[in-house]
Amino acid sequence: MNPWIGFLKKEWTESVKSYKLLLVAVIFSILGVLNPFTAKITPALMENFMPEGTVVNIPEPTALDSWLQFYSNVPQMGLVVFILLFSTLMSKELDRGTLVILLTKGLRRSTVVTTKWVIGAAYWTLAFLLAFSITYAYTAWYWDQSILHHLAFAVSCVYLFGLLMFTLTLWGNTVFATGYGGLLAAVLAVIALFIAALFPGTDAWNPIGLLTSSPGLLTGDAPLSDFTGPLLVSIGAIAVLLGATVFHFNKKVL
Amino acid sequence: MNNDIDMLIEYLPFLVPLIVLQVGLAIFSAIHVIRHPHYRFGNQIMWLLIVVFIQFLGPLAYFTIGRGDRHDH
Repeated sequence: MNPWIGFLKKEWTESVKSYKLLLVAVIFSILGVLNPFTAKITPALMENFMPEGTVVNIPEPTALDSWLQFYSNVPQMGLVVFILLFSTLMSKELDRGTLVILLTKGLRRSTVVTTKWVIGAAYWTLAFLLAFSITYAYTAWYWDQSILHHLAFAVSCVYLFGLLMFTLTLWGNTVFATGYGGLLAAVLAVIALFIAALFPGTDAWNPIGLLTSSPGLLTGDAPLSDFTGPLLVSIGAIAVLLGATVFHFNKKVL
Repeated sequence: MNNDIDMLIEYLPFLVPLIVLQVGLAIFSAIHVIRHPHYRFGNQIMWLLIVVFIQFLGPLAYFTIGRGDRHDH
């Protein structure tokens, strides 16, 4: 068997056996249901908590509210949980020392890095599609989605940002070779991007714009061209980080 | 009162999957805690309480940091 496919299978089996598939599937399904649910129940909750006799003037929720919930829940809860689950992909393997045997038998080091990345990316795709399709189904059932602009493109921005964060975590996890290394790299990068976003002019390239400005796409306030820079920077950063991970892992003394 | 029941029925399409997923995950995790009495730290009672009472973050914590590896046995 091709060693690349073989190692990919091993990664897949390991992720299933360590309950990652179960946790990702359950958590992202819950998030998918939670988005339209929160949008729908918020006005009713507000009415209940208002003092008796207050005139409440809360607009009926629309499809937009449901997708705005998606924008706050999936990156804040979903992505954080996802990064936590996959933050020890490399360090765990290094801790156990199981790789040494395989590598001395001729397994290429780049195979280890690329298969781990492909598995993580596949999981993120699955998780994202799950949350997206559940939210889409509920939203289509309860509201009119024709008011939304560029829905597929707007959510793809969140997807790409998630992929960037995962690649960054894998890089940090490989370079520092500790469970916290990857998390630290991801957290510091997000803080740095948010600080950079405070300065004018950075929104032309800052990947954080994929999260913060893309809700404007749904309402039609933000033109698609605003996202060319952040998209290209993110895709470039993913490629560079993946290359850097392979490079660092090649140099690493096991 | 009637109003509350109407409201409950209205939200049933959301509540049923949410409850099934959360309770299902809690039960699955609880069974796992009982059948694999090896933890990286803490004891069985502690993990049982965590997975049953902390919704969806409890099972997550158990499977990521609490569950003992096979070679710990």
